[in-house]
Amino acid sequence: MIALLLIIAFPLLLKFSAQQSGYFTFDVWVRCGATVVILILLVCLSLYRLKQWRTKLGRQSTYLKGLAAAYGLSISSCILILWFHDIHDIGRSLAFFIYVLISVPLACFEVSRPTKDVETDPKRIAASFVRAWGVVLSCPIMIAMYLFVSEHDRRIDWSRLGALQLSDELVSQFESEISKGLVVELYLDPDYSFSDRIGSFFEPLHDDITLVNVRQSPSRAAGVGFKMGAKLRLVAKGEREDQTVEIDFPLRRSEARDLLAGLETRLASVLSSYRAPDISVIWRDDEENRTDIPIKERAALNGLGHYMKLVQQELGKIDSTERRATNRSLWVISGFSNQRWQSPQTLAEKIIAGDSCLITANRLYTDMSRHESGGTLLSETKSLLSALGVTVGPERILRQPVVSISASAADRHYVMADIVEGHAVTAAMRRNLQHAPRLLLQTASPVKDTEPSLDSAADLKSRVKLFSAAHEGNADDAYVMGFRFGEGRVVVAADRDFLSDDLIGLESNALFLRMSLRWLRGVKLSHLDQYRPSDLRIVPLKRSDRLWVGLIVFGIPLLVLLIGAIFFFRLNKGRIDE
Amino acid sequence: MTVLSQLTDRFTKSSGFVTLLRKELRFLLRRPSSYGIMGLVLFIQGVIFYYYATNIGPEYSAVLLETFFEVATPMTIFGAVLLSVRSLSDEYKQGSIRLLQASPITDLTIVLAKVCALWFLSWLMTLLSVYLPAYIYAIGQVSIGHIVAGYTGLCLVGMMTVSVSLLFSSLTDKQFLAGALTGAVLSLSYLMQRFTGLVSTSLGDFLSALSFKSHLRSQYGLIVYSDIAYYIACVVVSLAVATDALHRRRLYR
Repeated sequence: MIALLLIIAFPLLLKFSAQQSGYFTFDVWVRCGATVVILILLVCLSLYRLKQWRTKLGRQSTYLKGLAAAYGLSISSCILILWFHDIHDIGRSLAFFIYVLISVPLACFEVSRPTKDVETDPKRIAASFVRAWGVVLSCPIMIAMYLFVSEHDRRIDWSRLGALQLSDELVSQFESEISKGLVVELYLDPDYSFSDRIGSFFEPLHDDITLVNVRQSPSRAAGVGFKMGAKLRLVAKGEREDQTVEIDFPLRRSEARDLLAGLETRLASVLSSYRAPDISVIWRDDEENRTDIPIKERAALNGLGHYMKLVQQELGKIDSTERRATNRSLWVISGFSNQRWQSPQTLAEKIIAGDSCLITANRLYTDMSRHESGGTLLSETKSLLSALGVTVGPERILRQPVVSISASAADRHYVMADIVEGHAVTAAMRRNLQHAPRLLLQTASPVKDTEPSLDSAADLKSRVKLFSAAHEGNADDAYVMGFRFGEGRVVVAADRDFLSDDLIGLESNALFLRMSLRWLRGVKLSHLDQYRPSDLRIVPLKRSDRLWVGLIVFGIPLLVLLIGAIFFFRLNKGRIDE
Repeated sequence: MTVLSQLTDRFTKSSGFVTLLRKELRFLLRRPSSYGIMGLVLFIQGVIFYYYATNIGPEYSAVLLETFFEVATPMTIFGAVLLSVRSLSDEYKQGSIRLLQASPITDLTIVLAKVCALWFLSWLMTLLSVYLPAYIYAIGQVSIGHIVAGYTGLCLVGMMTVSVSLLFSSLTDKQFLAGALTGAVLSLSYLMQRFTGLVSTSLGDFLSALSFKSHLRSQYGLIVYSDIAYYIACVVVSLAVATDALHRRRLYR
């Protein structure tokens, strides 16, 4: 009964607190539902076991019933702790802790009551409960300890190169690159969870860098927040403190979805021509404070055009001479599904509009015909091409070159750079890239009325050159070759994990990022020195070394086996003697 | 400190912990199958290492060392499961657990003595493979710290595996079932990290926190506090449940 009450109470409590905090979304409903299912399953399991035990143990089953309830609550608490440990919302956190605070005493009561009925030695049963509760409490305590340590995590790097930690020297090199007035638009994938270091690295330089965090984008929110009704706040900041525009949009579910489908794209295309160092889009579900604009009127505005005009009017006050001379951006992308977010569309428009982009994406290379997830790769590549405005032809076109990056302008070069050390440059990839044909590109998909119009002069479709940056036999040169064609406008660097926390400290990756930043700033790269790694390549073994290495590698296990055989024979001999 | 040492002495002497630990160690070190398991694990590691060293590359020494630790991790788990799966289930099967429980030794002491002996053996098995990193150190340019960090991680993985294996061993008298359950749970925990990309970010974080694959950063030369906390948490919870299972057997046999 208590468990059922808890099952009912927890989601209601969660809903109430979440409504208070203004953060109750579809995602939370899903979590609540899953939590309830888990709890019901636990209770059913406990009851089933109880039925089994009852037949064998008679009245002692009351003890086991209590114990089962305690275990169930403990496990459910653990699941809930882990499930919600990443949330930063005070309301939901409070709800969770209130739930735990209530459930633990109730569980104690549930367990302690049956002890009175048990016909065994009271001391023994008391001791058993101490042990049982030690087990019950050990799970949450240990998880709490783990979470506490995780919050205050520290790393000690004992590797020779400090490969996983940015050295002070490297940080100063990065800073010197960026301090020269670099303007970078950093688009982070919503699923890209390894960007802590990169994000924190760019954070102090916020004034110089345009940061658009897609986690807060409306298209991301379209799957979650808009079902609940949301408010969109659009903030555009100019160079000075007073050059800030903030407009709130009241939104309702189905209307909002269509209305906002292209907002990010529009926003980026409008604002990218201005020197606007900070663009952020924040959505909330605070309906009470929404601006009172009728939905019909908004629908008649044909996709936020009215609001865009307002933004443009405000931004028009900024001196137009401050427009950027170059418009280059760094993209970190892991997937190319238009259904999840709009970045491929935005990316395509930027490329077609003449921007230069460094795209770091994963799994864009690989021999697709052999790779186990070739279907996924194929569809991702198709999506990328589609996003770039290219009609994808038969699959054979995709199978010959590893990646068919393409876009609009015939006189621009497109470079694929492979920069992940070691494993990225596969033999198949080198082979494919070396024989990659010049691709014949098809026309772009027709521009719909709802999409922003593109510059027809730049919207050319023809043959595009694809250059391989991977170098046969020595992957370290890839980063240099990636920029050999420094005039290239689109550089695709696969795998994107070179930016991740775990790999950015590697020498070649760090250097590649430095060069990328220079390239984004428009500096010519031809004068850069060749990269000379400080580690040694020690495999494959020389033929002369193979014999003695083999002797050691296989000899020592044989020695251990020999010791075991000696014990075996001694043991058997002892038995025979007996 | 004196009080602490007195308490420790009292616990170790009066509880029979040392006596039981010695017995377990003597049993494990004289058991031929222990050497067979260790030899088998070292042999497989050697084969894989030799294959990498002769067929893969060119590769840096630091990368080769990381590869070695990547290979050594599942092998450590494999060996630790084989070493420890018999511990309690064998006692159940042969009935010797009744003798142990009839003595004044507590259940916690039994579990601790057994697990400490098994930890020692798993560490021995892990450290016996040190000649492979030593070779990389001799001809490459890796740091001793990287090797130490890697072995620290392997020892922690061994501790966790032994503890989980002891837990399942305490629940059943069938060795194969205990081994299969341990393997299944650890495999699931290992593979869970692969599913993080398929689910939402928060659920992915949740799965990643549960998976011990996310806590293997020592193979890159990193000592991360949260990784150590994860393994300690797994060990404590497993041993607590194993002790409770043993106690329930005593209470309701």
